[in-house]
Amino acid sequence: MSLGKDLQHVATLEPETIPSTFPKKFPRRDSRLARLREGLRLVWRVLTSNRKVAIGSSIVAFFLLVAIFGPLLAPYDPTATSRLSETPPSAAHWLGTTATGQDIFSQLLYGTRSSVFWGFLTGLLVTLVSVVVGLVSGYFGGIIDELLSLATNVFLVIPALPLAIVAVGYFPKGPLTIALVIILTNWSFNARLLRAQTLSMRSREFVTAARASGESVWRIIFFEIFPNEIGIVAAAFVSTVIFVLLAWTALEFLGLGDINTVSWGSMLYWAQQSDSIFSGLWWWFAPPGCCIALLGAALALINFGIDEIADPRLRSEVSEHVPKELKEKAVT
Amino acid sequence: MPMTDNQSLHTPNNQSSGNGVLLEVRNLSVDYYAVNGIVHAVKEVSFELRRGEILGLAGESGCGKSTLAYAISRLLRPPAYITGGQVLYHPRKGEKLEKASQIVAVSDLGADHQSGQHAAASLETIDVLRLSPAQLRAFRWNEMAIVFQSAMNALNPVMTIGTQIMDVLKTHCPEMSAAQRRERAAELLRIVGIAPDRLRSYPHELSGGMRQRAVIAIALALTPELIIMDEPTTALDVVVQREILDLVSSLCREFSTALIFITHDLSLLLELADTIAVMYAGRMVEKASSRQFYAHPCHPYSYGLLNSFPKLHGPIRRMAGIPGSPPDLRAVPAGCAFHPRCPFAWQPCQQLEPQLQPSTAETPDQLVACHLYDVHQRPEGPPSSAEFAARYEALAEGSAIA
Amino acid sequence: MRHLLRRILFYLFAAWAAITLNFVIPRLAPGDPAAVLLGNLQSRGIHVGAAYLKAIQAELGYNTSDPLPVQYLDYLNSLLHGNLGVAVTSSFEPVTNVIGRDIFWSLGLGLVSVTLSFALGCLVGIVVAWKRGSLLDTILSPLLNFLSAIPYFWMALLILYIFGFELRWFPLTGGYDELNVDPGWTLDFIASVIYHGILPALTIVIASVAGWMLTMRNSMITTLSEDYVLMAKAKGLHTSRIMFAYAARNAILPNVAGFAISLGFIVGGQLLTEMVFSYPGIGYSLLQAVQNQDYSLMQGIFLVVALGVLGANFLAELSYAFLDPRVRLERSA
Ligand SMILES: Nc1ncnc2c1ncn2[C@@H]1O[C@H](COP(=O)(O)OP(=O)(O)OP(=O)(O)O)[C@@H](O)[C@H]1O
Ligand code: SF4
Ligand SMILES: [Mg+2]
Repeated sequence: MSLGKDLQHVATLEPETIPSTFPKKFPRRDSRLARLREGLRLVWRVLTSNRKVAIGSSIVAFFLLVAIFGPLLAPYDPTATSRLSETPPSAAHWLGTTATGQDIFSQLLYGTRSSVFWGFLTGLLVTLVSVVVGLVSGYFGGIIDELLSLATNVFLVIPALPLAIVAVGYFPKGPLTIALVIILTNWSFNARLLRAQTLSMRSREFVTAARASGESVWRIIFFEIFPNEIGIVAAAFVSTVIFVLLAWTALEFLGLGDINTVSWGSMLYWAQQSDSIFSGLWWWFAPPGCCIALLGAALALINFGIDEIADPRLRSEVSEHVPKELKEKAVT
Repeated sequence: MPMTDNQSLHTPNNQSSGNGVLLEVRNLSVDYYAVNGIVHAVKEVSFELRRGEILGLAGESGCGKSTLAYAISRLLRPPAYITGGQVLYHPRKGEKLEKASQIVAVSDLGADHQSGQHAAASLETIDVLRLSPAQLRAFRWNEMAIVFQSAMNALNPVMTIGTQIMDVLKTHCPEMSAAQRRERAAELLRIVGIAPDRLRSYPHELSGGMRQRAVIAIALALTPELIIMDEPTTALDVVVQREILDLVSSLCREFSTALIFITHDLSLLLELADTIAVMYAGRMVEKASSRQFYAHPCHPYSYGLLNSFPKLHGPIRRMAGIPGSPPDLRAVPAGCAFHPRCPFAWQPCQQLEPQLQPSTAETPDQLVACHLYDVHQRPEGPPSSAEFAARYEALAEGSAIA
Repeated sequence: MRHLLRRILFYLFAAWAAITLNFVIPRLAPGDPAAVLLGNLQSRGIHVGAAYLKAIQAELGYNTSDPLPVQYLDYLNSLLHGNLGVAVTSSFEPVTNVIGRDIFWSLGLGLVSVTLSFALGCLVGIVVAWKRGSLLDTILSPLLNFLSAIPYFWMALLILYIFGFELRWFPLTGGYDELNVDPGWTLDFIASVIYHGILPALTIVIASVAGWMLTMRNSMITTLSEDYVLMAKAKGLHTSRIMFAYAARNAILPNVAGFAISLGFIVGGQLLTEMVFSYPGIGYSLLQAVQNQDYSLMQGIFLVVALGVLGANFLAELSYAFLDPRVRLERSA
């Protein structure tokens, strides 16, 4: 019986974001350190060589900078109320004010810190869980793999958001609850991907060699195999952060987060609670959503770039230097 | 083994269809505009193909054979572009007139051609590279079919073999009824030696050899004048390879179909082909009847190729092969592209590009692009076979020491 | 056949897992949800008897003397009898009634919008891949990439604001015009339902179409470089035939295979969309349940949605097997 493996064919395509050819790009060196360095170098090359990746990472870097330094630049205390309520954008309040007269621009700067911080941290944790499950499952095989794959596949088909809503509802409100619930509902996707990768790597010669030389299983998994998957893990992390951001803001929007901290999600929650739409306060609900979309799109862009690097067929034609008359003639 | 006397049975003339020229390729050049530079994959290639002739195209991997085939059939995709030259096709007079005239009738080439009076009028030449998309669709498969290297990849995995055959009939012979199409498809499968009940099979349900037969059946569907086969047997094991070759050669003779057969395995060509053309670094360096070619390869590269596989008969020779590797097609050596590897290379080879021309006045059919055969460059005449052998052996020894 | 049986077993197992999660989660929670609920009710001036408190506590697993296995069996038993508890938010109506009333709205909205976005996404993906590098491709692909990163509920807010509030082309809330139309198979009612459904459906389509389209585009581009597409071209077939029967027919497989993952995501988005539009589906009930800590309703909705998504996935898998003869072969083997 292998219930667990049956879902494999459901994704004959590796998840859109991470091409299966990716890890093949790693030269197989003997030294683990060299392999890790090679992996990091590849990540750097990826960051700089492709236009999509470059644009995407610039935007992400911008958000990271705002998250770190933004609050220092905030003109007002984001939670301080004032009598200037519901004012449209002006010189004093660049993005206007809320129903209670809070400065939206300041809220946005603080909110960026909270949302970006939690988004990336949770993304990292989700990826960590996926890595552990995927590598252990793929490396050990047998009954361990059967069970882990089964769990992975089950979590893959159970809709994440409704489960998250139910789970969050029972626990004390706060970022920790949301983070845990998001980890619970989002680890399966990349776990399956990494399992498949590990499975294909298990019989490579450097793994066999390590096994023969008596290295411990955990060392083999995390110091021999893992460095080879660093590229695919990086890509998985990027796509995970998108999902985490969306899930996080959705839960906060529903009032399931800590509604008193300032974040993109809680800003939208308050905007919705105050019927900002029906009062025409577009400057209240528009900015946080724009930020989410922009950051998400930047992350997606990075992944598309990675796709193109791994599968040259996806690259847009680099035919700018093709003489025009040739292009015109070549109608088939 | 490769060369026996019955070769003469199928030397390049085919009485039934006459000796007319079917296809003329003139100075055809193809470049790939790759990210890291322009690859000159085919450079100024010219040749003629007569009706019913089997032309074998040989050369090392990457020398541009497939590119040439795709260029002729106008299947190149970006970043490949035809940068010059012509592909002229001469449709047959007679039964096929109707079909061909459809193409020419809509073509702007038929200057004085009247679609009504095609009886005696000699048909215009079709300039393949200038056909409009609609004309091209009518031209394809009716006149020229192509068989790809891997049959598994050439067949649509989610469509039955039957549908893939009947697709052709449906498009090109709209007057056929569904039953007639089915009938014809079954007949085609029978011709290539597959049980007709396989019509309903999907490609993955067939063996490798059967798939290649199925592809050949598709190619024969409209009995085209010309079939291009790009390494149709490389993915198959030796026994199946032989069966397919026998099938191809008997079918081509039966339907007097002209064939361009691409392979890097010269020994196959010596058995199958009437004419052999050798390519090197995007250029055609030699073209001769397979008889002449086997007896006396003129180009040093051809000689090297021919002697890089063992012979069963004849004196035991040191296996020479050709040391070195083909050039990067983005930066082909000046002069003769082969000169860095050529055991005969001397001063003019590095500057002047040799042109394809008759090797000697007595052998007008054996064309070669090499300065050794140019009396202006080498007044003493070409080297003898013994000299070829000696030079190559010296080269092999030299490279073994180095 | 064996393969099919295994898939059925897998989905049964997944359903069991969802049901069990539903049982376990409240019992893991710290504190007493029943007390929270009660406090919530009392603060709104609703008084419930001690008997009711006990019933709720039993349902959520508090202050019961029964050991866990017995509780679990009770839970399964009541599920089997279609008993999901009562919804506090709609005056103690059984949860099954609430869901039964809402589900048709959600199903209708979901079916229409998922079908539309799948069809549209695939079609646009095909065209954009075919005309790759064209103006359409260079504009549409990044734009859709941006769209795919927009949260559903924000898209809903935006669309509601623009088309409902500013332009006043469409109604702001509800599933039909409750003041002027009576529910029933009348033309007026159907027209009103469609009129009210356009914005929510538009939201779901816009937010989800990009995912289908981008997968389709990439898969199509990869497929277009296959030999069988080149051969179809060499055969002189018509462009539409090559595009659909040879290329798209193969390129669509990854999209169907990825249906499971996408669907779960879209359904989540639909729930949020319904909340924003106050659409009378289960999403809107879920919002009320969340706001009022109506745990039974929350759990009931989760269960129904999870089982629905599992069922849809099973259907998607069946259709995948139908679309790909290679899988069919494995099946019979
Ligand atoms: N898409 C491409 N971009 C850039 N260069 C290419 C591309 N496709 C082929 N080439 C180059 O064009 C040259 C000719 O390729 P072609 O496929 O015609 O060779 P071939 O003779 O058919 O080789 P083989 O025997 O391996 O099939 C090769 O050197 C190859 O590197
Ligand atoms: S031209 Fe010169 S280099 Fe080229 S093949 Fe002839 S002898 Fe050799
Ligand atoms: Mg080739």
